Amino acid sequence: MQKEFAFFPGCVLTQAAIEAKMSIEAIAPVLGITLKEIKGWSCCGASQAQDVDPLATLVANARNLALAEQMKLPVLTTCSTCLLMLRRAKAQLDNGQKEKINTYLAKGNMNYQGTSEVTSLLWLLAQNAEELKSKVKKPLSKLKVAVFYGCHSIRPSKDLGFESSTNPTSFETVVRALGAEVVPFTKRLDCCGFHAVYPAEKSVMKMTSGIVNSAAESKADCVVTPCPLCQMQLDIYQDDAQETTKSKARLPVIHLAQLVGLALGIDAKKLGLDYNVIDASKIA
Amino acid sequence: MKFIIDRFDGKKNYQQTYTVEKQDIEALTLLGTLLFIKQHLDLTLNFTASCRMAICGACGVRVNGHAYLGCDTKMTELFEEYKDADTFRISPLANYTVLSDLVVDWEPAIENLRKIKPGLVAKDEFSEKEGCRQNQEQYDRIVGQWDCILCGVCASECNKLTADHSDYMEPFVFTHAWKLANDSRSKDPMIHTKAAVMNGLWNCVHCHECTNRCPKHISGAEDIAGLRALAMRKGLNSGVGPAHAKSFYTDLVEDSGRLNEIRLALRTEGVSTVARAGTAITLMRAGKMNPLEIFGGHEIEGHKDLVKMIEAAKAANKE
Amino acid sequence: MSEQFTRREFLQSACITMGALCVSTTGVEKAFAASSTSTNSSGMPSCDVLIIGTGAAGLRAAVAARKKNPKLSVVVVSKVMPSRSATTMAEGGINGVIDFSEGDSFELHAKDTVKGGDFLVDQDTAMKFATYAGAAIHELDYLGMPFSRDSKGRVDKRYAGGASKIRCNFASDKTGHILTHTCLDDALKHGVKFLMDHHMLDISIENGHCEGVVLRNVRTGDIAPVRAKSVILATGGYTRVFWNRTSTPYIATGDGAAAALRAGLTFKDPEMLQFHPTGVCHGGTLITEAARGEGGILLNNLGERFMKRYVPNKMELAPRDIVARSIEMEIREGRGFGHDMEAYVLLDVTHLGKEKIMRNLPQIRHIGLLFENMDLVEKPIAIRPTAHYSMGGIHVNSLDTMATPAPGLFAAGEAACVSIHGANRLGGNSLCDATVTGKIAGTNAAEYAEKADFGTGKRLNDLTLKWISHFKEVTGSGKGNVNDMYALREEMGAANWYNMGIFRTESKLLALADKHAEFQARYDALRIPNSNPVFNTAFTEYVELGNLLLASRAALMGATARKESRGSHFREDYLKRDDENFLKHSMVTMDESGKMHLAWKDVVVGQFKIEERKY
Ligand SMILES: Cc1cc2nc3c(=O)[nH]c(=O)nc-3n(C[C@H](O)[C@H](O)[C@H](O)COP(=O)(O)OP(=O)(O)OC[C@H]3O[C@@H](n4cnc5c(N)ncnc54)[C@H](O)[C@@H]3O)c2cc1C
Ligand code: SF4
Ligand code: SF4
Ligand code: FES
Repeated sequence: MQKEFAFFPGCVLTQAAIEAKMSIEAIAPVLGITLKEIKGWSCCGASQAQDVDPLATLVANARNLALAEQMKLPVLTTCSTCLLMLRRAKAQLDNGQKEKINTYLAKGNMNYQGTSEVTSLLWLLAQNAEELKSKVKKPLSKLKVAVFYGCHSIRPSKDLGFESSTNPTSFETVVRALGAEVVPFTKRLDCCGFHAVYPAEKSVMKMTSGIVNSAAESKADCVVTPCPLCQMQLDIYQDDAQETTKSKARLPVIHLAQLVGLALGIDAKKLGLDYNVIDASKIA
Repeated sequence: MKFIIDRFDGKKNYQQTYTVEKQDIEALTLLGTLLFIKQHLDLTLNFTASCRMAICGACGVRVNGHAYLGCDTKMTELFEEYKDADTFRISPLANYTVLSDLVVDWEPAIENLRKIKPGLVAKDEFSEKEGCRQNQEQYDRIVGQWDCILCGVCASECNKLTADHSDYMEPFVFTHAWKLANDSRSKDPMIHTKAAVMNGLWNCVHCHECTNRCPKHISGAEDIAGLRALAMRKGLNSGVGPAHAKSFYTDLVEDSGRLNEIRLALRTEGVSTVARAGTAITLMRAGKMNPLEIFGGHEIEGHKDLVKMIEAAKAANKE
Repeated sequence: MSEQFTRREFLQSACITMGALCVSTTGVEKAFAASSTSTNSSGMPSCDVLIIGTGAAGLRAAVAARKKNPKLSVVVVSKVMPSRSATTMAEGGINGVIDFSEGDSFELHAKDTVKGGDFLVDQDTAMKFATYAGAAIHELDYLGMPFSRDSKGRVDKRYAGGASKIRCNFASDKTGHILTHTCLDDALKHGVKFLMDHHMLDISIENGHCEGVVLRNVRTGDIAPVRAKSVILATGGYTRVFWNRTSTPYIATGDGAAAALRAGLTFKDPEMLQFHPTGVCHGGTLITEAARGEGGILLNNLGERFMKRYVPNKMELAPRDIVARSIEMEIREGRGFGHDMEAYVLLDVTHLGKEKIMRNLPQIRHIGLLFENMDLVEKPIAIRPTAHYSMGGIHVNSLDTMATPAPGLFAAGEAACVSIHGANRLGGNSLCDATVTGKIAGTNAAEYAEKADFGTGKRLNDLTLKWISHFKEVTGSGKGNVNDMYALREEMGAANWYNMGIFRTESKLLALADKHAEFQARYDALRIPNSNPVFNTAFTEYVELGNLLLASRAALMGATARKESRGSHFREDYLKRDDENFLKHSMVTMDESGKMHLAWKDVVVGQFKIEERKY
């Protein structure tokens, strides 16, 4: 397993999903991974800023990637939207945009070369599932988990392409390595709606609620997701969503790194489990 | 092997299982398999097809919950994708009204196409008698979107449409608006852009199903983003959607370089908004957010350089 | 919601009474019961101009009619969703002279068209056609069709077979697709209403005038009359008479031509069917000429480049009909692979290398993967000629109006025969035929409708009742096996292919006549085990098969009588063209008893000298 990464936390990990950062930083040393946060990283645009200015978004991400290149390390992120934005920028740069964008980067004495790959926590763990399994201290054998991939960890496959987008298995592989039971869950590939929570609130609440209900129907104890944005959406907005759709189900929604941390025997507090809005303490 | 097909006879929905020898269909396309079933097992099974060469758009169906263009999908690809499963579930496209078995109603989609004011309105310098002029670059810009065959595969998977189609349209409708708005021959891109804005442009949830499934490699989501950027550039920027996008951009360029969640809520919906304030309070209560952040976060290292870079890019690409 | 919307719009705009409006809720019979009590044929939905077909011809006709008189109600019917036509499948390009700098002219285009058609073309028509074709290109450009561009930003053009100048304008290798969507957008822009999933079963001619059509709403199964002041048939070709050996879509079943025959109208030059040399072995899908243009070679089972036997100076690049005959000859003489309908020769492009194939022939490679399950980069692909176009069609009086001899009835596009293409169509000429003739038909149909009255609808009513009981009879018995109809269809295709395909002889044609009689008898006894009226696609296929049998019989009649070889009609027993006896169109009609009759009509000769067709 690659041991050292240029870590791109993404905005949401610094604030609203602080527990995602806590947990990933807690599991890394146990797994023997060194995460070096990219100094001066900027927002990836969150698949929003390109609606205002696609070029500015590309420049910002070229800079982010160039910063990682200076560290001579591949990039790792846990936020799926950051993953998509960075990988898409990389694809655009590597397929003809590099020279043009580099003239802009030069204004800040930077240069993009294309030497750093971009991966996610989920993919890294899936690729090293055996090793992960060997480090598990507290197998989660009683836990029934609904795995929620989140759009930007699988789609569009032209930019992500790690696995089949209609029949992915990485998440199941990882969760099974932790000893947990993966329940069949019809909405595991759906969209949580996060990116349109403001303009299309009614629809988004319906989507969020549908996911929670589907997970509950499959008798899961919790929903797990690799993406902090999905987690926020399903966790923070869950009560609102259930109220709008008059549904009863209520399920803890936890970050992938939190689940891994529990299986590695890390203290729930260190994983920030008490920051989750829907009480997740029962899972620990 | 087995095919479980979702059927609808005009009155009731049911599932029917067909057993087929794998060797009979493994060299075929998905459409070939449906034809095989119809012609050898059950002629009451209904679906549509016309060209069988991936250009007429008639044969979209879902396999195991995902939309495919039937004549453009080899069975071997499906075997690979679904790890040699010996049962497949075939259903009509989602987000359309089912008329019968695998046949769906296209009329609402055609009516939606009308909404974005289809058809080019050419610049005054061009005429019906002498046609138009367009250079290679201008042509290349739009030609990808012209590949759309109206197969509905993107729309079938659209999460926004599934949630609520009353304030939204099929992704390909936005693609059609994009191709007109970005045609160098077009007199006024806003004719189509404005119509797109009025019919849900800002409601896309960015799930990228459309981009992912399109057999012609068209990205409805990117075209939506393109139309949004165009609308903003042309001053069509009021409302919650534009404000939301703008606040990301503002944080990136004008403020710290990173997103601030509370500012996001406030900028999007205005300070007086109660709804989102509730969310902010939830966040603060959970200890996730520093209320002081509202007065400006810490600027990232090298932000001035980032701004310089973006300014340079903007200057170089001024229209 | 929206389904109702369109139907409501349709009826609102044109309806005499609202009685039959709710056909889907009240049932067709009830609607008729109501209407039979009144004398003024009320109860039938109606409109001013009714267009059947949504290929380029139908769509252009609709816009032209709307433009001619926006007050008229114009409704376009299609048995499928509007963009699923043959037009959308065209790849190569659309002819029309717009650049005169290299010495090209309308006259040269007309001349090439006449010669390409082996002089069975009406020359005055060809001349007018060429003029309109040039204008059509500019018009399409103005409508927003994204043509490929040359260095000056003008519409780009490529060479098409049989042309003396480069005048085939194109939009990458998807010209027809792009054209379809340009026309569809334009139709939507002009407020054209569509009735999709509606199958035209018959047209009704009363006292020599067209009074409307019988439509089956495929969605509900309701069969109802629709009256119209003018009707345009733009239903496309009948190449599916060769069922699996054609490049054309499943819908190319000659519904218009067959309905015209049943209504007593003339089917002109039905024996004139064009073959393209390279269709994939399984299912006949087209491998475009580009494969040979790029350097692809044809091989027989001895590994020989057999074209050296036939046209050593041109080899694989000889004209379409000659290459097609050469391939069939190899197969016939045992130098092909496979057997019967699965026989083939090989088209080899492997020597071009992966890079060139991927760059210049990606579509073709994709088709190889889909249909033959093989990669052109690694292996040669199995190919065989495939039926590609119907030159014959519903007889219309002249290009000036596209009116048939029955007032109120017009035809356009591949469904019609004004004779632009004669015995062989040039590549690129049919898209502009559809565009040009569609527009003319639309304008004239509107003009006619402005002045005309509705017919009484009596015959139309009878025809409708007949179809209603026919549906019951065919589907209601619970009899019939799943595969009966499909087996018959395959057999018909194979029999037509062997006996009336690329090589025709007296004895084979006579044998085919017996076969046709047998097929017709089997067809008449056919029962469809599906009585559900809702979207009964099996019944649609049943009706289409009946139409194909009629078209086959008409084609056979022309092919048997035409004792010469001309264009695509190749008689091994009459190898030469015979202008003395056959410089004329075959005109097939059918009487009430179902018997077909043949008459001849002289070709209009003009400024172009009749000479041997040599390239
Ligand atoms: C593979 C291929 C490649 C080709 N390439 C070229 C080329 O490069 N250049 C060129 O010039 N030509 C080309 N052609 C030929 C050209 O595409 C057609 O001849 C032309 O488009 C015919 O147009 P149309 O409008 O007359 O009919 P079509 O496009 O066939 O449309 C017929 C319409 O009628 C409707 N219809 C039929 N029957 C009924 C009924 N009973 N009830 C209701 N609706 C009905 C159908 O639904 C359809 O909408 C090609 C054809 C094929 C198949
Ligand atoms: S990205 Fe937007 S348009 Fe595309 S499928 Fe998702 S919600 Fe629909
Ligand atoms: S955008 Fe793609 S998937 Fe959607 S209708 Fe068009 S071709 Fe089909
Ligand atoms: S049948 Fe036309 S796209 Fe598949």
